[in-house]
Amino acid sequence: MLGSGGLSSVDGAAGGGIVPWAVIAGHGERRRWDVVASTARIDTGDFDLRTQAVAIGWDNRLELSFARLSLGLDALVSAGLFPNRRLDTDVLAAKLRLGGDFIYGVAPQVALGVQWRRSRDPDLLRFASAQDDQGVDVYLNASKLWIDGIASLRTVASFGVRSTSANQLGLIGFSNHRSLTLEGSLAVFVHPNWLVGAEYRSKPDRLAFASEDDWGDVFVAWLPSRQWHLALAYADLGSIGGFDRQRGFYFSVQASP
Amino acid sequence: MNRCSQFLASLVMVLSGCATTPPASLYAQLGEQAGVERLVDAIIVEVKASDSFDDLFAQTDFPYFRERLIEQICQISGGPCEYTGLPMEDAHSGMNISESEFTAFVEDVELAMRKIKLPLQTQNRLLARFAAMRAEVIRM
Repeated sequence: MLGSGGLSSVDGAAGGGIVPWAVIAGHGERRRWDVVASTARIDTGDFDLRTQAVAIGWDNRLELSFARLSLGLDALVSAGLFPNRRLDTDVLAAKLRLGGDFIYGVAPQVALGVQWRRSRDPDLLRFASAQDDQGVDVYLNASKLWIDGIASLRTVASFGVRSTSANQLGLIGFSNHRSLTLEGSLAVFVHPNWLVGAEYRSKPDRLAFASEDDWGDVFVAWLPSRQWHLALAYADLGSIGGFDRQRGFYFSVQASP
Repeated sequence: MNRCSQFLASLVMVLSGCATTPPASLYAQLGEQAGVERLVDAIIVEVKASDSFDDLFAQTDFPYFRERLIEQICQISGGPCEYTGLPMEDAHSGMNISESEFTAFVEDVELAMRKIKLPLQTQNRLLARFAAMRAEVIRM
């Protein structure tokens, strides 16, 4: 069913744009490998975040993904507060479907995910006064698609809980302490090929020099086929690196043979 | 845009919980007996054209299948019919229908409904009732 493999999130996992769903990347078929490649970009004016990701799904059971996130800090660079370079972070991740079914039956599909994040910048700790340059997120997510959902439209809801040590997804380092955060999304197919929804991801706030806020967005995704999904969102990323009200458009494209 | 405003209108109705007229039954939305027959004919066209089933439908008696499916859709949509075929488990016993064959059938039903231009919400309401039968159909 269209959309049953989700979109590609900024971390590389199948789901919405900023939060994963419990779905496995690909077309959800048994005894089959699927590959999904994606690219996304958010630009707030002060910062831009680019991501390139590839995810493989097997047997609608296991998903492995790799994403490279790259944060451009134009505002800090032009203020002379930061050298003229981007901060890159890699996310290597696995997601296992524990049980349930995304579409059929009453129980939601439940998945456990692990994301190992590592900064590629050797000077990150000095720049960000963070405590570590790598960390592991663990999350548990439940997702469901109701065919006859809100107003008899296909409706997807997902809810997740995450244990993380990352500051801003790891883009500005990691803490020695873990935090428990919540995330969720709600989306409706207003047309067989158009999905409209909203997402929310709570985040820790641990850095002394810059506060970190929860992320949220509203999005429209166009799924013209099983192979191509495009999403456009308006995201509110809160405060980043001391710059408040970071808001902007998020655009992502994913392709899967 | 029209769909979108329809959606918003329905959402407002659902949220305010003040629908003044009772919603039409799914059977009425499908176009009653004539609509159900037209739909089943469209489904059979899709099933016969599909290459997703190996030989699942190779020995199907299509006139019989058509009558039972008309009865069944009429019944599950709230129409004045009684399904006279075998219970779903028995009807599919020994066929060992796979998840992907079941999904392919659901997709054919979806495609048929789209081709005869049923409204999206009507499509979803019927598909959900088919989807609910999955456990009684696969791997029997």
